[in-house]
Amino acid sequence: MKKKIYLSAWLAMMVCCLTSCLTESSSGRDATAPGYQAYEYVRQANESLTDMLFMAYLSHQYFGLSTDVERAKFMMEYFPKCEIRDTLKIDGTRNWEVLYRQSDYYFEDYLFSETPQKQLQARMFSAHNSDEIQNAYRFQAQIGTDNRWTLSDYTVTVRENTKRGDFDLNQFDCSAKQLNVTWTEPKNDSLYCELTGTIQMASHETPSLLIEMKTKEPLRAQLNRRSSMSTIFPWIKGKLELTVTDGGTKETDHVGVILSGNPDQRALIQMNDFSQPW
Amino acid sequence: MNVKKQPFLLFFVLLAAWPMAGRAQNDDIPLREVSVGMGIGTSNLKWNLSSEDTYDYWFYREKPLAAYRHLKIYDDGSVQPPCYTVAFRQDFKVGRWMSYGLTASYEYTKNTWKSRLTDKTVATSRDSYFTLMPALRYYYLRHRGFRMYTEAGVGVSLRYTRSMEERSGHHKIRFTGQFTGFGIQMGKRVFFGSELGYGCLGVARMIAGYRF
Repeated sequence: MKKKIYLSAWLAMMVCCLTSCLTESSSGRDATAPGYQAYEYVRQANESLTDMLFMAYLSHQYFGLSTDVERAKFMMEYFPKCEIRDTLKIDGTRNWEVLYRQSDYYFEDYLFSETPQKQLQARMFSAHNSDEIQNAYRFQAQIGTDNRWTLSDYTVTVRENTKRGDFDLNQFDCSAKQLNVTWTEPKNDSLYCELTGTIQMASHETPSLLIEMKTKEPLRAQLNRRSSMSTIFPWIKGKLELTVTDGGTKETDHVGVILSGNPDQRALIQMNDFSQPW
Repeated sequence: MNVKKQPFLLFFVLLAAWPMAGRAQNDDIPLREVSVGMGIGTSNLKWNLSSEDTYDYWFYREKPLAAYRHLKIYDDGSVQPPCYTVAFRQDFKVGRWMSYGLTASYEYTKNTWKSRLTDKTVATSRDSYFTLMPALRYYYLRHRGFRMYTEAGVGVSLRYTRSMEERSGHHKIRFTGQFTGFGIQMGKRVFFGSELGYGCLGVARMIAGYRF
């Protein structure tokens, strides 16, 4: 009897051993993960552009106010703890600087210059961890009628992280020959900045990651006046086409990005036949 | 990593067989044996039972191109069959309570990475271990058709790693060993057995052999 017990136990163990081939489960496919990362690079590097545009636009509104009371209220709402220094030259050119802005970004110095011919020059610098300027954003804009701006010579150099608490090494140079901006204020509680055009990006490495961002539908950044975070202008709506090229292998991926405009601000990423919300 | 089967039954064998110890007696079966075996849970290839973090790319730290390349593929997991062994033992003539011999073993693990977009395999790697190990065995119970023993061995392992892209792999030799705390054999000439221990041959082992 005991032999039978031993034998059956041994046979059971043998079955265990024979079927004990260990398999490590997959870490998950998530086909659009590289596309989402590419979009994050685009967003992190260029959200500062729409940020600058809002600063310029709001400054315009600030300069248009007629009383000190109105100006003080405006400052409290949109430029809390900021300081605006402006000078008006004899030729009518207005130079102003926005200092100490509270935001998610390390940028603190916004420099604007606008001629009577409505030519705007904008620059933004930061040197968070260095005595030298690490990040620089520049563009020129022709301020047109009907709240339409035409941007030219948009250039970005990012050498350190721009966003507080973000540890990704998001070091890209960006440029665009021309971008178009439309300002709309559909309701009193919001202001939209809608951007169209193409932005080129190249990472600071050799070989580099190249990204071309083209707007298929205007990219909308929003100022939400009802939100307590009225100093932050997130991207909320739009349709983008990203062409992502590996500078080493020259392989190119096409990524579609749809921002639905929903409050959750999730992005739908499309690559090949896959479509995933992030 | 998922372990499909766990050899818990080994412990039942241990418990069931333990009362047999102390009733040792000599037998008259042949002195030499050859055996084949397989073991799981070797010290060469660790079991990783922790769960994988699916969303590691949220926390990935690399320059953009490296991060992007990293994200274009995903780890499709690994396969690790049991460690297979061939062994020879020769009993000491005096007393027949000891035997010496040599064990050769082979085990491997295969890892696969696939493209996220196409789901096609883009890279594989294989980690193999070849081991040669002299061993010394002590029988603390020896009946004609049933034996219990403990065993220890020290030897060398050749580790050979090769990825799909490489024409030849990398190898490294290192010392290794196995301690078997509890082993049983059932049968006279043809026998079957199992072992519990720790080392390069595995935590749990199954053996079949022939004495001549």
